[in-house]
Amino acid sequence: MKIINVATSKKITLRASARINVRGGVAATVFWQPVAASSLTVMLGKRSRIYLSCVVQPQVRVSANLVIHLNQPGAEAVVVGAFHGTRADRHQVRVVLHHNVRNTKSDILLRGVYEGNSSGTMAGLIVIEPDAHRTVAHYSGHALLFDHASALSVPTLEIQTDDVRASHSATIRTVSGEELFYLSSRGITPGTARRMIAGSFLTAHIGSRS
Amino acid sequence: MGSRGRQGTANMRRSNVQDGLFAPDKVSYIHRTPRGLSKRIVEEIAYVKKEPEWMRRVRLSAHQTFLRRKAPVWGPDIASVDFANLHYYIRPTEKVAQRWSDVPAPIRKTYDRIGIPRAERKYLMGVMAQYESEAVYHSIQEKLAQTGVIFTDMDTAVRQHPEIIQRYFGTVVPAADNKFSALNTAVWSGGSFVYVPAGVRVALPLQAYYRINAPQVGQFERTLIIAEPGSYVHYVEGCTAPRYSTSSLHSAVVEIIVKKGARVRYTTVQNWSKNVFNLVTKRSFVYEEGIMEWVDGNIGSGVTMKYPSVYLLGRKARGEVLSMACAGTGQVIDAGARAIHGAPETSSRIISKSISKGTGRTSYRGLVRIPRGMRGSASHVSCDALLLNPRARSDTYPRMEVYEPQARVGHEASVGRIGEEQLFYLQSRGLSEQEAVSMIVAGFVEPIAKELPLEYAVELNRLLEYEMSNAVG
Repeated sequence: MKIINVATSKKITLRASARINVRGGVAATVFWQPVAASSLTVMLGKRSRIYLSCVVQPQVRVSANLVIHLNQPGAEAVVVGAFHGTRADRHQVRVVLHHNVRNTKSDILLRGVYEGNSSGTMAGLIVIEPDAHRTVAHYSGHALLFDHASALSVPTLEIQTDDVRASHSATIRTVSGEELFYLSSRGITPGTARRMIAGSFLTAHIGSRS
Repeated sequence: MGSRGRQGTANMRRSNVQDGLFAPDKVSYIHRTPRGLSKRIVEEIAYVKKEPEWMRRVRLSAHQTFLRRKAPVWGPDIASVDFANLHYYIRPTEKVAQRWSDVPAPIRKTYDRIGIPRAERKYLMGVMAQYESEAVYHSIQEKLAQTGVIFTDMDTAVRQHPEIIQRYFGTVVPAADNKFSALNTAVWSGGSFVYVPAGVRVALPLQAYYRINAPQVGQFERTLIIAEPGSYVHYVEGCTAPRYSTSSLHSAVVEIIVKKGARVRYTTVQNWSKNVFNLVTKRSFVYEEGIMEWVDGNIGSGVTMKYPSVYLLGRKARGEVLSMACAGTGQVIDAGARAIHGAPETSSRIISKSISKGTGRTSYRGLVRIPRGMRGSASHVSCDALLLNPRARSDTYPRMEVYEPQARVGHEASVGRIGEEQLFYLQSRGLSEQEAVSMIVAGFVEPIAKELPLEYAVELNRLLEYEMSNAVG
């Protein structure tokens, strides 16, 4: 397993599995494109921050596991995911956040578009330990389906203390007839409309929290 | 010779077994079966209840299934359920032997606080076998009989309405569904049977509470409700007042069939004492344009596992689950809901509100499944949890499986404690901290409390107020 120690604020691009240790006070930006079965573990130091974009392109099989440990006070994690499945792809993305100490924050924003016969699983787990006072954690996982695609969404929370704010939201839907009609009434063909909507859906959070 | 119970059992042991059927030499009055579960005990139960042969066979087959199945590996720890040491059948009259002084003091004190009338208290304590509402009960029965509604206990129904029971029993929750449905099918006793003919709307909520001629709450209640097309019924069970139970395993099964255009609402408020494992399987099949509403209040028990389910099997069927859980120290309430969309244009809504205080733990566990072809279906789940003390715990385990793109599923959850600003706001207007917490908690559960019949809602609010007074500080 590749180990990356981040000591200064910088950008990292990754494809496979790795373990990232972010030193205290540092803001790391990571662009992760998991392939096949990949896992990424992140350990965050005191008052450190990670902004992680996870992009899954259309590919037959992906199983991506992201685990972030917020072990020191003041640590912050923002994860923005954009997943695209076509044909017969099978994607599985799991994001786990461990809030172990006080004053940590996490924001997980996942979006997936699945077309053809593809299927996507978006799973999230936020664990807030008894000592993790004043944690603020949020997870959202939204899927847009077309054709014969399917999605499985499992957002879970395990919260062991009261002084926290934790929330999650998840939706699975398709583009409504009204949305398509709106665009076609303005001269946009169905194929173009679909690409426009899917594209803006996927990139809604990119760059919004960095 | 020992107690009558033991003597009765001794007679059973010496009796002949003819053609594989259990047939004693003489009639013995059994108060309760000896500890443990065996084929013999299942036979005794069927015999004592004078059940038809088909029910006896169902029980024996379910007993075999129970022995084969393993307990669920997920969820709260139920390893300490001591199957070998429980009594699986207790005659209701046995419970009258309970003395007022046997009941724990905190429960008696709660009765004072929430204002349960004295006569009711004795009944709830099991000191009195029947609640004295004979006149009310009979007049209700007369009105119901005129419209063709059948409302009786399950034991009587098996004897008097075998054709209906045989047709539907075990079709919604088969014995093999899980270990506890197998157990219930083998040893069930008590519970209600409700049959509503087509087009009949039962205006008065049917309450098991006021049934006189039937055993009150049993350990292994079996309830079956059939609503024929276009009918409506509201069934209520349980009560907010704490129920003390000597038996530590309560495993009920509730099966509900809502036919075309019918509507059924099933309200439960459960407040068992903390020694109780409350493991319940509740499920409904809802057909075309039918509506099923589960209103589920969980306040008591040591461990509860309960997931009211709606299987939407006809076009435009609708299911709703409103679930409330309040867990204090020493309690784990693992509740939730399941919505399976088995037809197009079906919709479901699940609202879960949980409160954890002390070191209590609440979990929401839910499933929404929309298979391919169920176009136009929609589901929304919202689960909120309130943590009142630093060591309270709350978990959320939802699952959404959508195989149909032309469906809409949404889920939202939030967990937190009462905001400092909210408390400050109320205290600055003269409320004490305790009053402020009670008011906020009452507001938190209001979407569910307002769906309860009035007297339940009043009692629930008082009960929560009382519980909150222990939570503050």
